[in-house]
Amino acid sequence: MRATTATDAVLAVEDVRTRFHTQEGVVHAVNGIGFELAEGEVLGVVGESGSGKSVTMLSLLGLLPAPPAEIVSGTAKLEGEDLMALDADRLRQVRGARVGFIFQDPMTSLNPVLTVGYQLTEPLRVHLGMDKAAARKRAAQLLSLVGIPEPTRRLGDFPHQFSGGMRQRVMIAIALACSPKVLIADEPTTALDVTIQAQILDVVKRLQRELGMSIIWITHDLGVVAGLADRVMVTSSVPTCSPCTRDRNIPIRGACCARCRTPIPGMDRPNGGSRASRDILRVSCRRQRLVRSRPAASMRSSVAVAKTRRSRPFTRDTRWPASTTSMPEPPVQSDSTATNTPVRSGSGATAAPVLVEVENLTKHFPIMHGVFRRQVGSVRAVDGIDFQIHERETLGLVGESGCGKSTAGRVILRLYDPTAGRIAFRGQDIGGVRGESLRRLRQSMQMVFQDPQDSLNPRMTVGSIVGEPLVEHGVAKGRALDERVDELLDAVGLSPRFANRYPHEFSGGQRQRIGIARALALEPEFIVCDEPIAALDVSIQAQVVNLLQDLQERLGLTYLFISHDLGMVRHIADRVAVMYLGKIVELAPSEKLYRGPLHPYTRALMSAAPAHDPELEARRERIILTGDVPSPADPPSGCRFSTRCPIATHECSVREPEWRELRPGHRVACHYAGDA
Amino acid sequence: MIRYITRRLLFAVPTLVAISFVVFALLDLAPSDPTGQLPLTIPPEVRAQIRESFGLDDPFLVRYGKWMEQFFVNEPLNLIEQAFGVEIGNSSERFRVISYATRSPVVDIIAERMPQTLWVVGLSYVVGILIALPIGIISAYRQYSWFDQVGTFVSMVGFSVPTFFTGLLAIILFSVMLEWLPSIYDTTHRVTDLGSFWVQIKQIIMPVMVLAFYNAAQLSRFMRSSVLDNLNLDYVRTARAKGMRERAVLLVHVLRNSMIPVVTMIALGIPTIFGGAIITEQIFRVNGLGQLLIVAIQGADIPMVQTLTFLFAILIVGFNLVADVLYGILDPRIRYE
Ligand SMILES: Nc1ncnc2c1ncn2[C@@H]1O[C@H](COP(=O)(O)OP(=O)(O)O)[C@@H](O)[C@H]1O
Ligand code: SF4
Ligand SMILES: [Mg+2]
Repeated sequence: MRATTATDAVLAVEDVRTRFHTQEGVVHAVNGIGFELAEGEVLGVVGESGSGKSVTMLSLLGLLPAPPAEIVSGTAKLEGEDLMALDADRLRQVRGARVGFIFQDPMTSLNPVLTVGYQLTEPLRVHLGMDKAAARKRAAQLLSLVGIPEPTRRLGDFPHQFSGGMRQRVMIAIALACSPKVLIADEPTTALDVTIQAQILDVVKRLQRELGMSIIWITHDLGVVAGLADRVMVTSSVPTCSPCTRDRNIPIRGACCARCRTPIPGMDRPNGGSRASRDILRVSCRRQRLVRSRPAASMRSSVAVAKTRRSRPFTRDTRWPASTTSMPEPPVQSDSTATNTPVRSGSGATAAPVLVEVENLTKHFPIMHGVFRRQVGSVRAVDGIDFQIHERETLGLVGESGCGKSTAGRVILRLYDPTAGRIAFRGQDIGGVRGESLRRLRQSMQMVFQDPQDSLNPRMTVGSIVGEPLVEHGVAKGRALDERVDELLDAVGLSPRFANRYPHEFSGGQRQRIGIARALALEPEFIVCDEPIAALDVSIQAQVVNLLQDLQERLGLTYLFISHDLGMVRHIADRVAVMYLGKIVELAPSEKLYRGPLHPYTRALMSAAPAHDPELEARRERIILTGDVPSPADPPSGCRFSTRCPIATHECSVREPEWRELRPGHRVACHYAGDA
Repeated sequence: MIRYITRRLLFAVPTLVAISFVVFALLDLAPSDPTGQLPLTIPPEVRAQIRESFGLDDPFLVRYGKWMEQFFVNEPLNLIEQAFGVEIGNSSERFRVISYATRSPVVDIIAERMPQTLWVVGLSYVVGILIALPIGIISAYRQYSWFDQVGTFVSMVGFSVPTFFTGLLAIILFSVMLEWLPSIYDTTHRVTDLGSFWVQIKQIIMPVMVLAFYNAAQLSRFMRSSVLDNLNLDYVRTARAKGMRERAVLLVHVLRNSMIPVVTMIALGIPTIFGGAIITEQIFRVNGLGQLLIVAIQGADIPMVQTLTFLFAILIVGFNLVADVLYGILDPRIRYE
């Protein structure tokens, strides 16, 4: 007789332990994880990256590379049959047939040189023994099931001919090809834009209703599973408590678990939320039998731990509770998490003088074609935008990837020459300055890049990276230079001792601090932050944002803060501009925008970003935009958004809406904004 | 694609003109004289006549123009005439690039030497590829296995030991000590029946294998790293997660992708076939193009060196284009327009 739990569980996993034999020693990535998955259930698995979510699932199906990975123990009973005891060939027959897999990055998880049709028919032919013609027919059905138009024609296309969202649909079709009992989705929407993420979540919800399979949904974003999962399991790399399971009727408030106490800023909670909304889950948090020896996180360098005390002064008034979750950059200030900052200068710092002003700013990139490389068109990356940034203000610039945010930032810094329009800095037109005056201008305008990994020269020490601009501009040398570098490192919360080390010795968050120190070197007034936290873990994002805010206050900086994450921008920006296909569609003081968005696109963006409160998540109507963002080389006529706008009329496709100030300080470009 | 090729071909013309000028000018500057090798008894008037007959008294640019005409107009016309047995215009009037050393047209000599080189060096290239690819694939798939270790060692030896050493070693072993194989390649040998075919195999096997070993050593390393790069990619994991057999994962998914850079490299290597493996040809006395070039350089046969060098330049430019086009065909993500 089997245990009662095992009978109704499709998949019962117990005591999975996996470790990696690396050059630095043994990494215990998974330490005794167990869970059950019931028939037709959606189990959310949440945890920071590196907490072993993926490794657990890959272990079950023997998908880890044998060295360095070693599965120490574990059972995984799929309908009573232990997968982890099967031989390689039997396990292969389970994969793809009874368990489907979707991976994180749709850009790399499909084979680039094989057609989508081939990749989709493969499992049908191997597992179901279909012949070519039957498999093609079924493949076309599958593509239309996941919502790909013209499925039969698209079977002959290669993956690169699909957009990211479409590729992820193809991946779903592949995973579902043989009607598996269990679908494992490993961060399937992390690499996608929010509006596309909403589409994918919608497809999965529908398919789950129609086909009734059980789903394991891995993510690091609690908001994503809030509206989807029946139960949530939290993984943690520190052996205190994991996993916690909970029922749907207990609201997930903030994150959960002793370790993950930090709430993540989301659409529903601008500044980390009130004390009530951060109530820690009262959950049955059964202590796990965990191996203490060497949890994955302790593998990180001691460099990080040494830094803790240094960073304290800069987070005195933590506006957004710093994370208590991560080892590499440990608790900055754990007792102040309850302090809630008053909402920042509500109606925008209009009183302050204007620092940066752009008018009709345009940047087109030429498209060359033909034997003699004639220009046949242009990518209208930025197509006439206007805004002002006041002194000591933060202007948020949000939009989906490819909408021209970064280009706008770069043109303003004159890293690109503008195609048209005016850029003024302190009232002086800088659109045409060159040579020596441009060099001088650069001293007061700097940039912080997205990827701290790529933007730091790996062969230069941290000291020379930070000091380089000083040497370049002949500001300091010798002892003065060293002192200034120490000062800068100190300002961003790094020990001056690190000046002799190389970038690879630092964690992502620390590297971003180095990038910020370099940007600060010349004492700029204006900094463009281009997705400065997009590549960082959620817990570290908070610290970097806190640092940026702190520096702003102390040094009187002005920011243009570019991001695709609306929640983050709400937190940091005084005013927010929403961009779509090279145009700004709405601009308003932060709170006004989030409380009452006027443009249909802004509304869709906000509705697509998942709320972290499942109650709210369940109540609200989602606006799911259809289709992908059109190409900026050939934008739709009239209103750019008209091809995807849920309330578009004929008028919209012929006449471009004007950029008007509908309410004081609240500008929008839509014919029907404010009508409803 | 057609557009792309056309554009590349158009760009190739100025490139080649520039190369031809440099080749011609450099060799023209070299202190040499077609009469230099002649006996001292020949009187100066006769020498002057000989020089005049080669057109050496004309100014530099005139000689360059004439050479260009010979190379691009006259010789191609001759080849067409030979190929189709027709006569275009007055072919006996057409002046040709003449070798100082043999006083016969350079192109005819090259045409005569071509087959040997193609056979020996070309065959070694093909054999090298056939050996290298499977070794590279297996080494990568079974990384750090004994097969991989041995493969690594052998290929290290393969490309660090020059062919004149392995060639001599093979001659000493198989020709001198074992007396199985001839040490000299007889170009006049004609295959007429089974017996003579066997003789041909025996004389070709050593130069082919020595060169093939060298080629395979490099290529198998390249193949190995290309497969290794792909084995760790996400799409391979996807293929396994779909439940594909390992054979299909390796031979369909991984191989297609890892062949892209390898095929490109193979195409880029083809011009070296025509260059002839100069050293190997010397050792085994294969009188192919490589040997022809060496002899021409030693004998200061300027027209011959100019022509051969320029031919190689054309081949290199041509196969660069071929490599790029192949790349575009193999990788659907690359689109030329
Ligand atoms: N191939 C590998 N070699 C060594 N360590 C690995 C390997 N793959 C994963 N790990 C380690 O396993 C831990 C868990 O990783 P992963 O499951 O990918 O995290 P998550 O899915 O939660 O982001 C991490 O510490 C990671 O460094
Ligand atoms: S102008 Fe029309 S298409 Fe554009 S956002 Fe407004 S309603 Fe939608
Ligand atoms: Mg992961």
